[in-house]
Amino acid sequence: MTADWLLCSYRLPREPSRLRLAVWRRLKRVGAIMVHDGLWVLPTDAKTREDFEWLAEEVEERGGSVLLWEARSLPRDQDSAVVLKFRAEAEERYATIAQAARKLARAGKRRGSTAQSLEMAMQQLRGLERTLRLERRRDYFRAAGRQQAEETIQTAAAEIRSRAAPRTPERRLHAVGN
Amino acid sequence: MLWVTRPRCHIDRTACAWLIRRFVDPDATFAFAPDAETAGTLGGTPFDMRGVELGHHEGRCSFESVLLKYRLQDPALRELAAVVHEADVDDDRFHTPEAAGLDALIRGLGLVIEDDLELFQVTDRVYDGLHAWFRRTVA
Repeated sequence: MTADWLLCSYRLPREPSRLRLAVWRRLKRVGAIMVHDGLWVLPTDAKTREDFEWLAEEVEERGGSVLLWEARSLPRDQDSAVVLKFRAEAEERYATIAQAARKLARAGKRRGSTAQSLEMAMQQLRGLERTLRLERRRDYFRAAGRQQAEETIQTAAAEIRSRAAPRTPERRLHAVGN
Repeated sequence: MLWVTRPRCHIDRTACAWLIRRFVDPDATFAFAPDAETAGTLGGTPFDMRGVELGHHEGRCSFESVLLKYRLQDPALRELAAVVHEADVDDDRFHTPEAAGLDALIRGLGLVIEDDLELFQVTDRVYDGLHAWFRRTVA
């Protein structure tokens, strides 16, 4: 029988504060959510286990302490509540990506945009693509907003390209939607 | 020779096991231990564990450390290493869209195959395939 969730709770020395920030960022990066005060949750698999174990090593190396569990919910509806929280956080991040893509599309449309500014917008769009790839990886429960983020990026790319044409040759953005 | 790593393997360990068997030690056998100290008592060569030579060093993942130590220069292995690195370390050092797919695949296999040696049987073929693919592409 496999457990459903990995739980992590940690304590760090008060100083340096950058360590607290680094650990927090890392937890966010792997897509863990915090429930109540200081209990971090991930759905269990070989990679998420590795994520927490790796984190635990680092925290302990720096004088902190960590508790890790594999756990299953007792109340039946608890799982869906946790899943909803995962989705809500991912949805928010997808929305941020879509918003940034729309902004780039608008910037691309603006009159007086030069080849240089269009190229810069395209570069920023590629950055957004990378963010989206990371997002897809830590979106454990297929949050809403994923498709919209993908489409918004594609639309923005098309906008910018059509502005840049015919000077710039066709250049498809890679990896989105594949 | 005996090679030892931590149990419940994900990308880096499954890929190292494949690399070792195919390119370093055809008669390799594998055992599992929680840490390097326990691995030492088993008398095997530890890999992808904290504080061992075939581990994470200077930004390298363990797969890359094995390549380095055994001077494996095959360009297709380099390509594969970039995918493994990205799927494992996830630091955007390489642009490898394959990494996300490999990550999903190996994670999923770990959910349905609990025994690591059995898992290796499947993942060995996965890496055989990826390697053949890159060999066709770059060699």
